[in-house]
Amino acid sequence: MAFRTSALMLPHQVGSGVNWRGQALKLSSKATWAVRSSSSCPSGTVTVGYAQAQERPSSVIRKIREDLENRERSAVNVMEDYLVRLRDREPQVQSFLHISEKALEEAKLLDEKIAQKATIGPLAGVPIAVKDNLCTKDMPSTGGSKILEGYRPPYDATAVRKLREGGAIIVGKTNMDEFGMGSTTEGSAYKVTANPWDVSRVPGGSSGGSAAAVAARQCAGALGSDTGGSIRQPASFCGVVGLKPTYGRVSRSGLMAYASSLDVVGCFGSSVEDVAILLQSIAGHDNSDSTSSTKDVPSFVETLKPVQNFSSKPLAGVKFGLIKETLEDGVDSSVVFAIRSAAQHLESLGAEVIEVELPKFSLGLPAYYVLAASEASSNLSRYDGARYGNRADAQELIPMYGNSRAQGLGAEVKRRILMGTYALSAGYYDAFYKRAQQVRRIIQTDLEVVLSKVDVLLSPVAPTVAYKIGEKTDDPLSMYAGDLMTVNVNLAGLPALVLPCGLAEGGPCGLPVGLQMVGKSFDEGELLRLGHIFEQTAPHWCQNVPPLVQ
Amino acid sequence: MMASSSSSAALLAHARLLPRRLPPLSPFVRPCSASSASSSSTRQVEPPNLAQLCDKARISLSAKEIEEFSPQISKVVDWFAQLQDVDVENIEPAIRVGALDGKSALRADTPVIFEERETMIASLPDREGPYMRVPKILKENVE
Amino acid sequence: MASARLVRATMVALPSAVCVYRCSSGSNSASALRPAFHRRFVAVSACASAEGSSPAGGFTNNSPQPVSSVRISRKQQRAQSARVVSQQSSTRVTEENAGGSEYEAVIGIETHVQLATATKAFCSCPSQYGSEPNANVCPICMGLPGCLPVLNEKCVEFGVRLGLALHSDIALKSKFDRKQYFYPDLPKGYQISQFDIPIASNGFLEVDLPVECGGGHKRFGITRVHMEEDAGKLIHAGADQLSGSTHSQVDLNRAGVPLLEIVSEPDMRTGLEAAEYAAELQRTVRYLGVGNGNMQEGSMRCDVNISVRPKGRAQFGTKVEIKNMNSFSAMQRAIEYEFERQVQLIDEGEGDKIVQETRLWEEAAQRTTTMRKKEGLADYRYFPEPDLPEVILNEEYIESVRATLPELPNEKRRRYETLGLSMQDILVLTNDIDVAAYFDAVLEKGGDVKMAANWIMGDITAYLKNEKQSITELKLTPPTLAELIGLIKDGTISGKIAKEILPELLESGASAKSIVEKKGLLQISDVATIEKMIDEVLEKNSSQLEAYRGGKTKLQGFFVGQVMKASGGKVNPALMNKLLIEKLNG
Repeated sequence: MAFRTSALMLPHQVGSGVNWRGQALKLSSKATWAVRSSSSCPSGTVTVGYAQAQERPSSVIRKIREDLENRERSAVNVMEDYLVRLRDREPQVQSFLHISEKALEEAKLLDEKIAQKATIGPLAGVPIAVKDNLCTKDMPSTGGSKILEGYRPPYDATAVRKLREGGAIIVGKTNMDEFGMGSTTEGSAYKVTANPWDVSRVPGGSSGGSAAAVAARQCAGALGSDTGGSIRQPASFCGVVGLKPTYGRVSRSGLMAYASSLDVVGCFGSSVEDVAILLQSIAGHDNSDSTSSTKDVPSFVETLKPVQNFSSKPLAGVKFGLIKETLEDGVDSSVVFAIRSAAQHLESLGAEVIEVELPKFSLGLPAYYVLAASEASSNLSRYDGARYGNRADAQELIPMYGNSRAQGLGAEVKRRILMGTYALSAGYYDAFYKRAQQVRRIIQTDLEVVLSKVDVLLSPVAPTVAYKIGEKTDDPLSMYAGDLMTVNVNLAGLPALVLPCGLAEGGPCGLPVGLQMVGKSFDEGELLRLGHIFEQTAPHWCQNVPPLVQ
Repeated sequence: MMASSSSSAALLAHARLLPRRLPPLSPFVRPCSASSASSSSTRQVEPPNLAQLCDKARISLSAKEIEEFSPQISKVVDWFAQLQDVDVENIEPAIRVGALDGKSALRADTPVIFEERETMIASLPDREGPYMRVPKILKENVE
Repeated sequence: MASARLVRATMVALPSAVCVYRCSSGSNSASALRPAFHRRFVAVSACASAEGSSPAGGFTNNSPQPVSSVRISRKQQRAQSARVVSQQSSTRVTEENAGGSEYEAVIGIETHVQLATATKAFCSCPSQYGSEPNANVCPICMGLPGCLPVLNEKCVEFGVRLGLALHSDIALKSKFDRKQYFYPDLPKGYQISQFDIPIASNGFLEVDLPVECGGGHKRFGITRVHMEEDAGKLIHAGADQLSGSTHSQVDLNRAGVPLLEIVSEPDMRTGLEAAEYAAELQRTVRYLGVGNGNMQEGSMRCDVNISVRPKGRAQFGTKVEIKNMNSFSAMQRAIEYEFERQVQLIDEGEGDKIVQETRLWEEAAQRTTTMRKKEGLADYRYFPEPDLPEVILNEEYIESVRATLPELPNEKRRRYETLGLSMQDILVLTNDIDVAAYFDAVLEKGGDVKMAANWIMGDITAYLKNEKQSITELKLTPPTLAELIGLIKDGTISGKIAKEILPELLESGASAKSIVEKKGLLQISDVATIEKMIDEVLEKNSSQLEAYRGGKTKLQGFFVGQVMKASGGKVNPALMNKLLIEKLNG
């Protein structure tokens, strides 16, 4: 696919900071990020901050659909391909807690339907992975916890049901931090998932398994959940696209609740278009969820135009606000650089990028943790060994509760339950929970105000790129610190899209950095439209396949 | 992982948008309060009574866990306390984001039998006939 | 009770029209406890037995005390016969004050009413009493992972309905909260309830106290009414009671059933007032159709809060909660027992032994005992329920609910007073909305007020109880009863004949006129015919006539009976009596 102008990025231009139209970017020649050449990187390419221009990300889901319709591949072919890849990479990545035994069979059934010329859904034959805190009727759903080991729900989560109604085939359940609490997936009671970009590093969390599975091409897309950044941060760490919808856009019915007023179900894909297709499928009001919105679901996919139809300044008239507080000391310089470069790219597309200040920004972190821990302490009370899951042996009721929970729940979960119990206790409610809700109101208002002045906010997703496995397990607070850039979005219930926007030094071939775009309430459509334009024109399309994947 | 501040400063200086020098970004330090000098005097928070919390939350921590968690939880709770310094006068607490459509959230009073009832009952960890069974309840624990 | 205290039963009229009702406690045995109360409930139970005990047609849910087991002291017997029952609704009976107690009880009641909805509060499981254990469950009410509550619209409607009937302010905006504690009958580990913003508040309930207990019209304040969900049922197995049980069985059918909790102001001062408040609340609930209000089944549960203070002191004493009373009479007895217990402790200088606690009423032993010794109050860690939106109502909706309210018990009682009925009769007739409706229908068809009341309260109630029918199933319809009454009133048949044909009317549902005609039961009111009958009787019984004329005036009854027999019971009794006396006396 050629550009309209002859601004094709040539290999020698990489590293010189040239945008998609061949215009020079103002970058320091003293760019400190490494230039590395490694034989472990595919095709002997040289990676700098910008990867070799391979090809633009494109919709895997659309391709599967086209292949099926053209009879170029059968559903079984597609599924076999994926399953082979899945099994092949699984020993290193460990993204899955459960792999479906029925995937191939479902593909066969689909082929029969196609042969009979029956109507097939928009996601027919597409292999999707589902985070293990979303209930699936025919597969165990553990929430990453031992207390639900082997638990099989008697119903499907609404988001899962909608995917299935669309024809998707669930290939398996992905690993996660227990009940969504954590930012590395090391909090899983079962296994540690590795980042496909560097298997000694974390994939992020809590939806680490889903992000890694998509990054490692073990599936075409995945569902995750985001309470304080649990989709966006792994998307950033794994170099995939992640979408956190507006609170209420997707039904929470069937999502094991962590913090009810903050949880959302969202999705991962290897391109913005894929994420748009997935969102289209799962969004919408659900009678089973009283907090789901009755707002109309627009067409998210229709607004994504092919790159050749872009005007020369496709982002003209769009105003972005770069959040100043997210680019200050304490944030990795490579992350800052990637974000600022992304900002410049947006400008080259005709957008206006200004810096915005949110002085109370960092208040969001303690407020978030008070609210999340409090709601979690309540939502997790049902895990007591009485009606399902693992029950500890005991002669009396209270020890049964106490031991079932002590043995079945992990350290971080227990800590948060205790902290939440504290914050809600008589005498402390006003000082902690109520106050946190008031701070939440302040942050909501601030974000509303700033989003009346700009269309979309920009920031990094995390202060760093993926860190080493084991690095942050000892100190909860230092782990919480990494959520600074994501929690305010949950407090305000806004939608956010994460796009890969560069590689930083580290790992065999660099480590992904994600750009976070935060939009107005229920304006996922606009986010996706802008994100799509960014992605399709970015001069630094990541070699969006990590070295693990050949 | 963190680049040295001088290089980051240099980097940033060259970027189109120059940031002002600001205090370090750390969630442990109170953010926007002008009185950064005053500190613990405004937030006298009792260290949480972990044993009491464990009882309320029905989690029987081991002695080792109590030893390990106590300082961790105290530290986090202390960190929570910075919220005390925020001026929240006249600020209405936000239960959730935005208003929900209450009407659509009402359900008609029509019975529906859950078809997977058997599966649910079958996965009870302990049963006695049609009943769910739990260990004996001591008199002092009756609700 | 260590030392028996003899206190004469007194009824003291206080300026505020509060009836302080103290009863003797001559011994520890149960039946000697509250004679006067027994008296009232004997009367009640007579009515109860007459009206049947089904929820629809039944009276209160007291276990009626057999008359023979009541030991009434001679003093009370005298008091009883000396009592004058006034027709006025606000009756005050003043008796000698035996130097009554210096203490008074301050009583408040928390009532939980199960709503008569088809489904549970937050899921579509059937809300049905008596199903197989764990038959009516689903992931939501079992607290499975990932489940969310969805509010039943009928809960809101019933909450508004009851709130309006209790003259409360309806909150245009209320919300749900989570009340957190761990127990096997509480699947989620929290109960969805309303904490600080209930759906209704600031109301009152008006009560007419039973005539035999002194009567009186009272108004008790209602602090709030709120919506919440019920917990499941726990059965302690392996032994007769909790201690000694080896395990517990849980049935979650009831978990999630919608409740309305009604909290009264601490306005009651006696066990009787408390019992009547509860009975009136039950009556209201049944009138409205929002619930069954059956204490035995547990669809209505009352917890009592009682504190004791010296009379005249404003400050409240230590509040004690009492649970586990299955009837209104049990409530009254429990309160009276607890009052005694506390007064005794105070009198013996051990007032500090009265602690804020929950006590259980033990029906078998007729006493309260400590449920558990817990230091401090439970911390339920309430916070707003994030899964449910606020309940937002508008005036239009509230008015539309108000328009569906029936005439409430208190309103009906006031109306019946204008009809000239005694309060005693009014209380019986208005206890059940269907009975009152029947009565109203009879009046509508022209039936005489007093006669209609008597027929309904007497023969018809007896029949219904016998046949275990409710008045709505009665084949003898209001128009027919009105017709029957009309026939008696205009002299077509005598009251005696009416009673004779009543069974057939009840069984067949035929019209009174048709039966009278079929059987030729017209009343004989022709003077000549009656005189002839009398003459014949007098002739046949000349020796008795002589005896009568000789002074045995009691023989009049004999002649009355003979004339009745001769006429086949059809003779007009009043007229016959008049003519008979004339003839007897020559």
